Parts: sequence; C-alpha cells; structure tokens
Amino acid sequence: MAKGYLALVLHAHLPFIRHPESENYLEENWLFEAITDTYVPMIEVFDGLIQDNVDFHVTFSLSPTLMTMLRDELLISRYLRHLDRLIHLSEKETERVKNEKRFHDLAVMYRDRFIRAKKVFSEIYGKDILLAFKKFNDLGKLEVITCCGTHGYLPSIDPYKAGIRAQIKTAVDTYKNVFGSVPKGMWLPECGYNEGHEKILREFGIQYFFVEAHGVLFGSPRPKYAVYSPYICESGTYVFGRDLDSSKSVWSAKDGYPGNYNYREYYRDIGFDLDFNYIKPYINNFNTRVNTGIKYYRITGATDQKDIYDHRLALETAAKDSADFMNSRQKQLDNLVDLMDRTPVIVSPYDAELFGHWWFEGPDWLNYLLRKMHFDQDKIKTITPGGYLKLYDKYPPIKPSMSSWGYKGYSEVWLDGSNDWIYRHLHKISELMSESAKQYTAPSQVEERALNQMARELLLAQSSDWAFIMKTGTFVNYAKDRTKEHIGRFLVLHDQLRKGEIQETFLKESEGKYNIFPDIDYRIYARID
Amino acid sequence: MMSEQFRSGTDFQVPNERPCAKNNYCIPPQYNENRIVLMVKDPWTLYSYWEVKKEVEDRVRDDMRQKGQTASKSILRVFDVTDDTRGGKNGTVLDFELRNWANSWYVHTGSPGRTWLAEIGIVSASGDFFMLSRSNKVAAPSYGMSPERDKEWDCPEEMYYKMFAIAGGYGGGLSSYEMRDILDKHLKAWLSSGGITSDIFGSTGLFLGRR
Repeated sequence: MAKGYLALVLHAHLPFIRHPESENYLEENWLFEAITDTYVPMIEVFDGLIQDNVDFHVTFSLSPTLMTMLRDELLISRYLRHLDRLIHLSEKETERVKNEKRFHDLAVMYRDRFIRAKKVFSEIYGKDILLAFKKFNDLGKLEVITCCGTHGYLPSIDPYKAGIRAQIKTAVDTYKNVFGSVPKGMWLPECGYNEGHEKILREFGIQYFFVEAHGVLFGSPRPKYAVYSPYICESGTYVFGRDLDSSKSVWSAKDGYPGNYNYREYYRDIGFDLDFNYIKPYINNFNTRVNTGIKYYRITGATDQKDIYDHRLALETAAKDSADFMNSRQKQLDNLVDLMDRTPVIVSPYDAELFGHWWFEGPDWLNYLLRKMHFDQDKIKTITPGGYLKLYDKYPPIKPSMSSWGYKGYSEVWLDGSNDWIYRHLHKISELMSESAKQYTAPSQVEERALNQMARELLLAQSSDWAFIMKTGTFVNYAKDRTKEHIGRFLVLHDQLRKGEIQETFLKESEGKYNIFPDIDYRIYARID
Repeated sequence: MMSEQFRSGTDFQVPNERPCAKNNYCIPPQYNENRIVLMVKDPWTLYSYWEVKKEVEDRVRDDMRQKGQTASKSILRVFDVTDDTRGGKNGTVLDFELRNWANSWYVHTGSPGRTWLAEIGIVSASGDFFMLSRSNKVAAPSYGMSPERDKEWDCPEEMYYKMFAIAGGYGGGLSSYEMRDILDKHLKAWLSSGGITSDIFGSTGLFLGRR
C-alpha cells in the first residue's frame, strides 16, 4: 500500500496565433517549436512507458487555443514546412562540423530528432497529435483536462460573469469535440481564482480545479490537510492546492533542476551564433535572427564561455535529478503520514513547455521519474485528481481564497502599469456583448454570424497572454496589436450590427482569420447573473 | 452583477475605417459614459478606472452652485462596505485627490479581507461630497490562516503550521511558534519572489516572456 500519491499536472498552452494573411509572423514559430521540443517528445515518453508496461498516471491540460491550432490545416502545413527546413539545416550542420567530433555527434542528434519528430507527427499520428493524447486518456494513463477558452485570466473578467461562463463553455465544447466527453477537471489560467468561479465550473460539469497553495492555505474553514488533500466547495466542485516544495525544485532557475550546469543552454542557438546568410534560408527568411532549436552548448555556469554540450552527461544528470525528486517526495510523505488520517496527495503542476523546450532534458527527467517510481519503490504512486477523488466518500469543506500562481501570488502580473489600460476596453466590450446578446433574440443569419464573431473577438482579446507579454516586456508590440485588433474588430462589428450595415467582406475576413470556436453561440452572453 | 451606473449607451465614436494601419486598430480612448470600476489586485491593493460624462459633471456642478457651494477638488472616495454600512464598523473611508485628469488609480487599502466600494466625485470648499459615479463592490481576499474551524475537520493552529511547514519544504521538528514565524516569512518570500513569473520559467512565459 502506497504511503502517498503524487499528482503530476502538466499544463500545455499557447495563445491563438494564426496569420493566414502573412508568413512573416515569427510568433507562429512558438507552436512549431513547442510541437518539436515538447509535445512530440512527451508523446514518445508516454508511448514508451505504455510499451514497457509502466504503470503511471499523469494529468495533462491542453488549452482550447492549443487544441484548435493543433488541428488547423494551415498551421499544420506550415509546421511541416518548418520541420523540413530544420531537417535540411541539421543535415547541412552534420557536414559543416564533420571534422569536429563532439559537434558532429550533436548535429547528428538534432538531425535524427527532427526526422523522428516528423515521423511521429506525420506518420504515426497522421498529422493529428491530439489523437495521441486521446489514446493516453482512453487508456487511463493521462487524465487529459483543459483550461479556459482563450486562457482568460478569470479574476480580471470577474465583473462579467457571462464572460467567465463563455470562457468555460468554449473550453468544454472544444474538449468535447476532441475527447468526446466533458473534462473532469479544469486548469484555471495562471491558477487565477476568485470566489464564485467554482460555481460556474460546476454548472458545466467540471469536477475539480487547482489553485496556488495559498488559495487553499488561506481558505476557510482552516484546511485540515494543508495542500495534501482536495477539498469540496459549497458548489460541489473539488479544489486541489499546489505543493510549493515540489514545484520549486523544478521551477526555480536558481535552485531548480533545470539550472544544472550539465543541461543544455537554451540561449546559445546557431540561429544567433552562425553567419546570418547561412541561417536565413532556414528561418523562413525572417529579417531577424531567431532560434532554430540547434544548440551546441551546456549551461556550464554563470559565464559566457560555454562548454560543448554532452548529451550523455546531461541524461545522467536527469536520472540523478529524477531520483532526487522522488526521494524528496518520499521524505515529504514521511513527515505527513503521522499528521494525516488519510493518504496524502502531493500536487505538482508545471507548464508542459518547460519540458523539452526550455529544459531540454525535461522529458527524459519525467521518463526516468515515472520509471523509477514504478520499478524502484512502492512508497509513493502517481495518481490523477479524478483517481484520488474516488478514494474517499467525503472531503473537507473549503471556501478557497483568491489567488494566482503569478508574481506575488495575486493579480500583479496581469494588472499593473504596463497593461491596466486594457481593462476599460475589455470590460466595455464585455458589456456591449451582453447587451447585444440580450437584444438580438431572433437575429438574421448575417446578424448571428456577426454576433458570434464578436464573441470570438472578445474571447481572444481576453487571453491572459497579452497582458503577460506587456508586463514582461518582450514582444510587447505584438501583444498590444493583438489586443487592439480584437477590441477594434469587436467595435467595428458591433457598430455595423447596431446600424444594420454589416459588411460581409469584413465579417468574412474576421471569420477567416480568427476562426476559433466554430460552433460558438453568442447567446451565452445573454445571461448576466 | 454590475450596477446601473455601468449601463451605457453606444454613442462613442467607433473607428469605422479599419484598420487605422496594418495591424493597428484604433480603439476609442473613452466611451462617452459615466462609470467607475473597481478591481482587486491583491489583498492590500485595489485598482479603479473611470470615465465621467460631461453632462453628468455639468449637472453636478450646477447642483453645487444651486446649493451655494463651490467646487474644491476631484476625489476618489473608497469605502469599506464589509458590514453593509458606508465606511464599515471601523469607519474606513479613503479619499484620494485627483489631479491632472487622472482616470485610474491604485488604492492601497492595507486591509485584507474587506469589501470595498468606490465613488468618484467633487468635494466642495465646505467639504461636502457630490458623487459623479459609483462603482461595483469588490471583496479583497483575507491573508493568512482562517480563524474559522470546521467541527468535523478541525485543524488546531499547531497542526496548521506543522502541515504548512511541510508544504513549504521545512519538514517537521520545529515548535509551532517557530514554524509560524518561519513560514510567514517563507510565504512572503515565495510570493514576492514570484514563485514563478519572476523566475526563469513563467507560465506561458516559456515562449512569451524570456526572449
């Protein structure tokens, strides 16, 4: 009998970035990099574990924007072209460095990885890697859940409950289209929670959600088991709190595993290191240097003089780090078992893109961890929240406390001097959306299309990513442009609707460009309680 | 639910030529309406933005004149309405003088766990407040251990801090008093270090924030 459980939660998300009008948006590369660096390697890890009969249970959140992009024909075709270019570049690299063995070994590694990624993506999963996640979900190995429609930061939408409802409904609908059922759980974007959200989650059949540690620790009544048990809200929704200790060991740049000097250095990419004319044909002819994914150095230390990356040494380090993680969780359990009259669960959520993209060895670390937990011990077992909720008839009650997992634990990241200007516009169009939804109870076909597109524009404008980018200071213009564009498109459509002068060409262009949520129904905004 | 003050007409100017420039949609600076909105930033801080319709301001200034009063200054007034009375039992009313046409404000209440309401208005020379717009109510979260205990799932303070210690990575072995002290500091450090977003691996920041 296990002394306790580990609930690993991986949250995969990228904002909806799709530019049919141009191939010059390097922001589209984020999806391509994430597929190659994170999603495909993760799929390979899970497939390998299943093949080797390793018992594991992991929760995987796929955001609706990501799911939509992963099934978008235009983006898939662009991804494959991107991957072909990378394969060519890596082949060329094997030639360029053929006389330098250590570099050559790495060039071959990259070439083989890219070729393998293409095989997994195109041949094994038929250009639809969501099928992999569906398979893992159906097998009960992954509990695939989702998060809000466009990753809207819910506390900032709070004055408009209809807006929160729309974020959750579009998420549930997107998930149902892929997985055929209502998701058991929901990842709240940025763990952004405020009182009342749990009720709306319940309306849509969501069984559980997660909050940052202090969302539970500061909850009321006082939580008997800290973050080591789920709690039940008055609405009947269950809430799990994040464990800080296990989170820190992976997340932290300074003290966490990914900062180990043996791991691959993210910032030394040949896209920046080599002659620009050599690189340019392989980076979509962008007129600026971008990452290619081919990186030859290890972190080495706080120095610019980087050593050549040693993949074998890095894998040994990943194996050691996974053992350390497991041992640390076992120690945590040793401390917990005497204090708890039920089996503790340690909830460790991470952004999926940390694994593979930033922390190159992250998927290997996960692979080693899950294998070690299965083969080397029986003190701690992996579990999903859905699995844990079957263990007991009753769970302690709580009203969670407002919280997020962002800087300072609340709304600072998404509400500060760099981005607060957006809220007067987002709230205004939320209000106009609700008014229009109530007003147009029997719209004409074109009015209905305009109203549905207004809903899409509103949802896209609410993506937490834009405010986040404005705060962090990179790609700010893109984030500002996208925010203004969605608000602007909404206002134009609203104006045309109100005047009875809907311009088909503009409507069509908006529908074509921002084609997320094809089955959206604007009437969700008519309810304002 | 939004208060009636939030209801608005649609008489703002929408840019009807699109786009203003490539990928640069124009959005109106204001919406020609009378509204003030209050948001919670953290347990100690609120954010408010507002817009005052000229007609409303003219009417309020007329009213002041008719009452023989003269306008002195524009004020953002924030009330503690936790106990359903203006200012609450402890009578907290925070005034902020607005200059240079400020249209937003970060309000540092310093009091977690309270419910707040804001009004924008004009204070007369004799100190009377003439309201221009009233906001929604918001509840700032409490900070720290809840005093409320459930009979069936009771959690004494000592137990709370022991569990908290493990959550914070301190293991066992300290007295509850020592733990409380350490953990309060630990939590503050954890939260203010960003836990996540100020560190290397931010949520979404993996792609968006660290280039």
